[in-house]
Amino acid sequence: MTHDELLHKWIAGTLNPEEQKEFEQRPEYPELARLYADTEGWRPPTFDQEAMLKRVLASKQQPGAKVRSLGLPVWGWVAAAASVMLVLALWLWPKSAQQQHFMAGAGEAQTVKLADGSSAVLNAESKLDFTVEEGERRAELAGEAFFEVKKGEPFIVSTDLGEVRVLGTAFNVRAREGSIQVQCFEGRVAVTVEGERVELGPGERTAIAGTSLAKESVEADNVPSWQLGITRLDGVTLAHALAELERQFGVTIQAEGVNLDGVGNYRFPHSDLETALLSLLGTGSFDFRIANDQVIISQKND
Amino acid sequence: MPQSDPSLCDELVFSQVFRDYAETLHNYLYYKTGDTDLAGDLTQEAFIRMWNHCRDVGYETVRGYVFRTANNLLLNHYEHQKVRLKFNHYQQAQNPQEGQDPEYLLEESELRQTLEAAISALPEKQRVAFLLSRMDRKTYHEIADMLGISRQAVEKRIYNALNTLRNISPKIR
Repeated sequence: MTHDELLHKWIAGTLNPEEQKEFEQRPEYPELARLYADTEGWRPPTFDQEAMLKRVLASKQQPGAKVRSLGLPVWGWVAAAASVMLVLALWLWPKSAQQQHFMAGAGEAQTVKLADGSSAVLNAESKLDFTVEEGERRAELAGEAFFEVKKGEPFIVSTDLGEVRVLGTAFNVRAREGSIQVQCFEGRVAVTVEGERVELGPGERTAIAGTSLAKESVEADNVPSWQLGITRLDGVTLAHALAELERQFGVTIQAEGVNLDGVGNYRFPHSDLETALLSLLGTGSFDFRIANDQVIISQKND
Repeated sequence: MPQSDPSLCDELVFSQVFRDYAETLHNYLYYKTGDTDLAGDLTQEAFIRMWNHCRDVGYETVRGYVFRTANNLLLNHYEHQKVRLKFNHYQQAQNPQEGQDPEYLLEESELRQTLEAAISALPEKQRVAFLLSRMDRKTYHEIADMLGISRQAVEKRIYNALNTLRNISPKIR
């Protein structure tokens, strides 16, 4: 391959027809054309430009003002001293003042207002610790929650399994039974699990599948279905679905000697326990009995 | 007082400059470090510095300014570690027969991964110049200006990158 003007003109797309013909005769042409075809449509990861611009513009109060170090009149010194004290006070303010802790018990969903103006709805038996730190907002989640994030500093939801990073958007994070699933409803989010990163747009969902993060498109509602009183779990075991039912109704399930490994798409309403159990178990192969806060499931005998 | 250049302290002018260069700067930093969070943070910081020094930055020199600032910021962060780039792959109009063949799709994803790995493994200077040309469609002149090097140096870097990469695509077919 020769390092010459034709090659660079080809890259720039400025070859005239004769030059193009000549270039196509080169032995390296098919390889180069292949490389360019194979990388067609590739783009680096995106970011929220307009949100960043807002933060940049907000970084200064008076456009063009310069820092003056001398020549302040007396009241200026007082004001400067006061602002230094204010900054120090904020700096020394205990971090706990910016921390919030939330929990939702069995059978309840809880809407919470976060210190930065964002909001979250916690699904049953979920816990959320929220901290505003310098330059970022961090929500530590155990369980499941739907977030509506105010634009601003990066907002990070961290779970035992991975992180979700956003700038301002609405999305659902489910970190239960050793798996994580994230669905984006608005804006863009980036999910990182063990160094692997996936970006989601509206109507896209990712879950750990095997060892990697798979991305899929799903029907786009405005909020996750559990907020509308229905649990929908796709591609999970019956045991996984029943564990969620325990949380939603605050019951304990006993299912000794019953095979709950069947993988499928499970749905149940939160309105009443019997209907929910019927939705999950069907009438074919299981029997169940409800006694106070206990549900006993057994295999049907033929 | 006659004023020929728009003032960078004007919010509208600054916003336009930001929209013109922020994406390229972000991508440049990503190609260099393979870290998209770091790329975002440094892009934001470079523009914050420019906004806060808007009176000192000539309108004609903004691109050089943000790239230089970001590079200086990067020096504080930079640990030479292995870069692993990932790209979003946008579908083009698809060949209908090929599109449905699962074997073809599998080959596609293997090919992409191999190419991504080969691009990531290029020497940093070649990688950055090649990707600014290929992904961001920047001209040699623009790339030279961003990187603060000569046009000839850009040509050489891209040529060397192509020489390595051109063997990859056909080999895995």
